[in-house]
Amino acid sequence: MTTLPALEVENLAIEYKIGTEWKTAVRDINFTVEHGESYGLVGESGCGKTTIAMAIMHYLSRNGRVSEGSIRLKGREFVDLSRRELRRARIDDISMVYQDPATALNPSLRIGTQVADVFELLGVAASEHHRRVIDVLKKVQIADPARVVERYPHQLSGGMLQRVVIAMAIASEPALLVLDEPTTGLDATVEAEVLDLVASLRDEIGTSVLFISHNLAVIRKMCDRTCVLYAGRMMAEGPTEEIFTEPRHPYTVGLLRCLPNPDVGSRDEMSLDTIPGFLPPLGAEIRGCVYVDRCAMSQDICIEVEPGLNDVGGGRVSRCHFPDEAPNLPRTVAADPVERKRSDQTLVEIKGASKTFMQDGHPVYALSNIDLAIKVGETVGLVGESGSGKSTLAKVLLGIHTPDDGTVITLSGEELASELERRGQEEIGAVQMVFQNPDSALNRRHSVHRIIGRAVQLLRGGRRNEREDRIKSLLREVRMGMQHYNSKPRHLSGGLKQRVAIARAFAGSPALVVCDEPTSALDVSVQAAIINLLSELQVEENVAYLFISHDLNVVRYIADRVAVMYLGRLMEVGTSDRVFSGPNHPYTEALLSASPELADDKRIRLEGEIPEPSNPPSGCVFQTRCPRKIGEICETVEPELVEAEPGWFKRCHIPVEELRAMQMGASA
Amino acid sequence: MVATASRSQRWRVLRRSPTFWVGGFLVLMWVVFAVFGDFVTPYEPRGTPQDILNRLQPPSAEHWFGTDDLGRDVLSRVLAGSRQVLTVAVSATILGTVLGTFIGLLIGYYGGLIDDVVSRVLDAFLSIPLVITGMLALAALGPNTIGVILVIGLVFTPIIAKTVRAAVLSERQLDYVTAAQLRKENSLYVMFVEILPNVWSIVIVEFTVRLGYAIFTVLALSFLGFGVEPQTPDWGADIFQHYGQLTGRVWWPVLFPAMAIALLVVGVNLLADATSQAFE
Repeated sequence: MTTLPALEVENLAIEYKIGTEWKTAVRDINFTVEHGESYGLVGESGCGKTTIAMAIMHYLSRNGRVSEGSIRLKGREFVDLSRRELRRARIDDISMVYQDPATALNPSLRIGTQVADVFELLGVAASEHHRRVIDVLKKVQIADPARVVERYPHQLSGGMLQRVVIAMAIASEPALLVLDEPTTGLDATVEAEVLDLVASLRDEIGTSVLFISHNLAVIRKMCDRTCVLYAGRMMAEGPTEEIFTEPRHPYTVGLLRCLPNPDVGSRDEMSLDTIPGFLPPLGAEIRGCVYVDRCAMSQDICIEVEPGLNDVGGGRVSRCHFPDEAPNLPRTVAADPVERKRSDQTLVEIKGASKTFMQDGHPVYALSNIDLAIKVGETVGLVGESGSGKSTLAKVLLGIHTPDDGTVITLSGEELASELERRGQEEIGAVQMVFQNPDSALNRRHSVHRIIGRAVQLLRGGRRNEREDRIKSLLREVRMGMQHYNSKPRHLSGGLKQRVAIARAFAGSPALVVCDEPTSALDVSVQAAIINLLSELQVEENVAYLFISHDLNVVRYIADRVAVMYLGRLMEVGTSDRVFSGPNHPYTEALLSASPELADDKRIRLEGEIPEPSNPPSGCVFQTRCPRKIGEICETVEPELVEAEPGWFKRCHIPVEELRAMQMGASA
Repeated sequence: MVATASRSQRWRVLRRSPTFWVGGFLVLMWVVFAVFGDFVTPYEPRGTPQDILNRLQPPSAEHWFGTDDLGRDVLSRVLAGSRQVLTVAVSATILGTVLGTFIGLLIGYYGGLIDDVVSRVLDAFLSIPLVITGMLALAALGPNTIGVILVIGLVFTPIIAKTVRAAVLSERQLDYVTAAQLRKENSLYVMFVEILPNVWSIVIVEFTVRLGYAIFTVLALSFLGFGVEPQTPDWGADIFQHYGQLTGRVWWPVLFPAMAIALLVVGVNLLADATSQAFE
């Protein structure tokens, strides 16, 4: 029994009914998840990875159906199970963990009750429930399970909830565990913990894992073998390391090139390559290769004949006519970055910025005494876990939140009113923002023309025809065609929507644009194009960015300087090179080591969660979680943010040399 | 993600829905009678002095629905009666929707103290029973159509205001509102040009649902003798005038107006169902 593969998918095709027609979403899917293996499905949104998972689980929506093929679980056909068999299989053999743990749990039941339900279904005696619940919660490394079972979902953090969901999924020790983007909504530090947990559980209970993610780094870390999907087709399949280190499909090559990573260096060294074009629409009739119109090396045969899954050695297959040429895929974007003008002139200076919110009569210290300067045309990256105060700082700067008294913000040497209402038209146009989610940031009832036009009208003014010219030139600047002039946001792709939002921010010729996670809602290939666009606009418009992101690779790529925040305080500020190469503040060290690219022996892990800002820890605010804590001084005296080296500031009692010794020692 | 059903998608849903077609047909029929009543009624609905000779005739070839206790043709009064109820109900609902939407936008957008105070006042209004309020107000105002419109409109206002407020609160969280602040947009523009189009579908659904209630309320009030000038053909008033004679086997002056009410209310409710399905 144990030698049977956990999951075999053969010739799988899935259709959706759109209107009155059945359209093929996914076809010719073949893969096998061996016993105890971890298998990855990776691809951009719309590639069909979740559709496949839903079909395996029998969770396809009512307008979807498996039209062809077979899914076998431990050798047993799974496609046409009766309702009873299916229920039994879901209880015993197969479990799924979803992206958002908050919606996977019932908000009105205690955690203990919900986990106990699983044991009820498994037929465990009621008297045993409590003990088994505690055991399984311990297994997912919840430190205090007796207390957690008494809690309701809203009282727990996202990371903790995801542990609970995983606990419920592994309670039956299933043959197959399906994980659909299990860490996508989580902070990098929490993500790292959850991934470690999944890896250790797999070793412990020997379950097979089908891991679905858009994140190449996560897949690379977690999976033995990987399948790259595009437009419902398998493009490449094989052992994960080979797939990523020696890709033999132009799509894989393209995706990898879109990702900023330490090898690419910073934007001053090389611009990111992109994948132009769009995913073909659902059910489109394509004779040749589905990737043909986005492929930089396509030839006539690619349009005429669809390639098969060719064996390319090393256990890999690739759906390409020219797999051996894939590594030499021509770039679609010139590698040379645009030349930058550097300036030492200070543009924005924030001094002593504090922000206290009142919550139920108690003060919550969201920001505490922040000093930060941004130079003309510079990019400052702002990083930290959620709850660290990044967005609050941005909103204080923008004037959306009124800071506490004593906060001084200057723009080009002149003091800026702290309330938006008291800022003049020019000042407002000078400090603008690009939001994380363009669906929320653009009014879905307004046309592109109106969205940008209104910003031009208010921030720049001028006569009607001048404003029209400005709208058109803004659209050109964000590389959008005039055919989108009257489009509504719903007719635009995610990348185009974000371009409209960027054009709006540039309407008044800003000096500083706050970018709040501008690429994290976008696909990898689109992200690269937006990062390139922001880089180019920066040079053309000589604008400075305050770039908030949780993706450290993106920050390392685009930022000149980096500021690290924790619990409303700056913990470390320095040039990008300095901060990323270390030695750095223990908090920065922990953030960096959460990155999935790092080898395990270099890791330090952050325990627990960010403390409540209403009740910050004594002494150094990071001491409760600090892996490098040296002793009593950390608990009693809050360190100052001091310039330890020219241009490099840290808020830590440990001298640089000692930090160096600790951190270099750890990685040796 | 926010659902963004486009106008054409909604139309497609509506066009495919039998509920919409049946409801639409019923309502349209009454609208036609209301507008062209004078041309389609076989007799003068208000009656003529000679009618009194023809009192309480049962349905016949001459008078399909019979005649009432003043000898007036019931069919003519039923057909012409739709004008009164539709005018009053539609005006009242429009008044309530416009006022309610305005207040809902205002308190939802500004929030804070204004929201707290106004919401409590609205709650207080909501706790007063509808028909009793209407009777009291109309007893004070005397029977007149404008009074009925005002009363029903004002009674609907808090209900609609609360629905719109809830929708505005969730729109307000979205970044496009922040983006508007970041260009120093004036509040009226944000409320009416940015937010209103996004809550429009909720307003329309609320309007059709309220219209059904309004029709009932108008008729209940006229049955109780409020709001209709004598002689005006009105279903509620006609039923009131004749229901005492049901015991004397005179059923026609009551049954036909009652059926008319049923057909109209069912029609409006079907339309309301279809629109809320298409819009939500």
